Amino acid sequence: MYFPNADVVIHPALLVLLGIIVGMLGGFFGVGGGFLITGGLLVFGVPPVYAVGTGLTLVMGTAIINTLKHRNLGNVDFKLGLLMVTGTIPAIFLAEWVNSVLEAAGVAGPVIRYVYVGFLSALGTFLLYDYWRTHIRTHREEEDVTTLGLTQRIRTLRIPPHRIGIPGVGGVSTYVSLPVSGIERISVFVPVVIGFGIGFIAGMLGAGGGFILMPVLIYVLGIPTTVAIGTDLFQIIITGSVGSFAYALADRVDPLMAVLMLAAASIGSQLGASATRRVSPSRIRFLYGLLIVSGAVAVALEELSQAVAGAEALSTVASVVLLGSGGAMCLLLLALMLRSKPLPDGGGGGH
Amino acid sequence: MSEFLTNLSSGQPLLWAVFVLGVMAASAISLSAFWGAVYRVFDALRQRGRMPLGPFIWRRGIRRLAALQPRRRRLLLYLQRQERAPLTDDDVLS
Repeated sequence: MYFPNADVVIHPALLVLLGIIVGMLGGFFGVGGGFLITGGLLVFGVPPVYAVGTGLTLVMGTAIINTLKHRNLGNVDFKLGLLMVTGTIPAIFLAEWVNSVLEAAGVAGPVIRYVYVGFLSALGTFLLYDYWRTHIRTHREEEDVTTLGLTQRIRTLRIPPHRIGIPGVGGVSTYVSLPVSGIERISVFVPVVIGFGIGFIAGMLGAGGGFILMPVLIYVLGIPTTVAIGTDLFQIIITGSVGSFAYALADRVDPLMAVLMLAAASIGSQLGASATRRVSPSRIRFLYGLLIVSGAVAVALEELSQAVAGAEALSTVASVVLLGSGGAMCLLLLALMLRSKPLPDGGGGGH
Repeated sequence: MSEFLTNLSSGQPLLWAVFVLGVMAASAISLSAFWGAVYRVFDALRQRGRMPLGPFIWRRGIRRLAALQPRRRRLLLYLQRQERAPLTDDDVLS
């Protein structure tokens, strides 16, 4: 099948398969899956700029489908998502400016990639360690995490000003209640600062940020795993829209390819989102840790292929590792879904 | 169609960007609605014990089945638990 904008011929079955994998992992883990799509499209022979642009557009579309599905399951905290977005959007622009300064100084490329590998490795290792510590060693409850003390401190932070005067409205409290996330009272500055931090890191690394936000919501704010997944997806819609708009303006998107993959991703999304009701929260976090570690391996291989002369083939190996681990994860999810029954409280649980 | 897309992308960048985002958003919402409807139909059929012909035939079929089965009491309890067709003994035996 010929795609006119990207000027490339790809068998549609390959795109459908990639779409299903991305949709399923997105629905289950609450990630955009940009790294997976871009890697896959590069393997299929799509030019890099179109792979990134089309990938971002697909991330936005998949996030819309997954958010709607998770909203029906009661997993999206829109209030929390909007608060974080107010911090995320300016942070993305700030990170792009910092990136351009680093690039002008000639240190951007390698530094960012090394930070990326280190960050993914640390995150993946922490998720696996948390699973081992809380569920294998101490057999605690499903939603228990090793950072319970930290989440309590973050939730009870009192950050001035406690009231803001708005003309025509009067004094308004800067503390909100987030019942969907199970938070009685929290300062609005906490989610805004978290959104800012995530946006900055994501902008620096050139990623959507979904893979960082989901664990941050669980381990820092202490919200239930399934709500973290749904809220993360809502946030990805907005960040993904900004990115895809910028790439579309520069004519770096192939909409035909994106729509074809979106149709396939919608099937995977239904399966992935439904799977969150059948797989326990602790196991979701464990599987997410495995996926992040395989992502770190793939990025490290990619970096090696560029750093070592004559090792260009490692780039293809990296994409194959990424796609292989994604496909294997989907098969594992299907097996878990078939074996398990729906969780009594919709899978989310709570504190 | 291909010519239209390539012309629009090269000649009108802003319109093209809005078009791409609009197409993706509309497709995502339509696909979500479609799969949501499929999911609801599937769920409804599953709750009715895979009887796709509607509540009337479902009730008649269950009555006949209950009349034939020696353990109709258990079947009645099952139906009441499902909050569907609260039949009495008279219904079953008639």
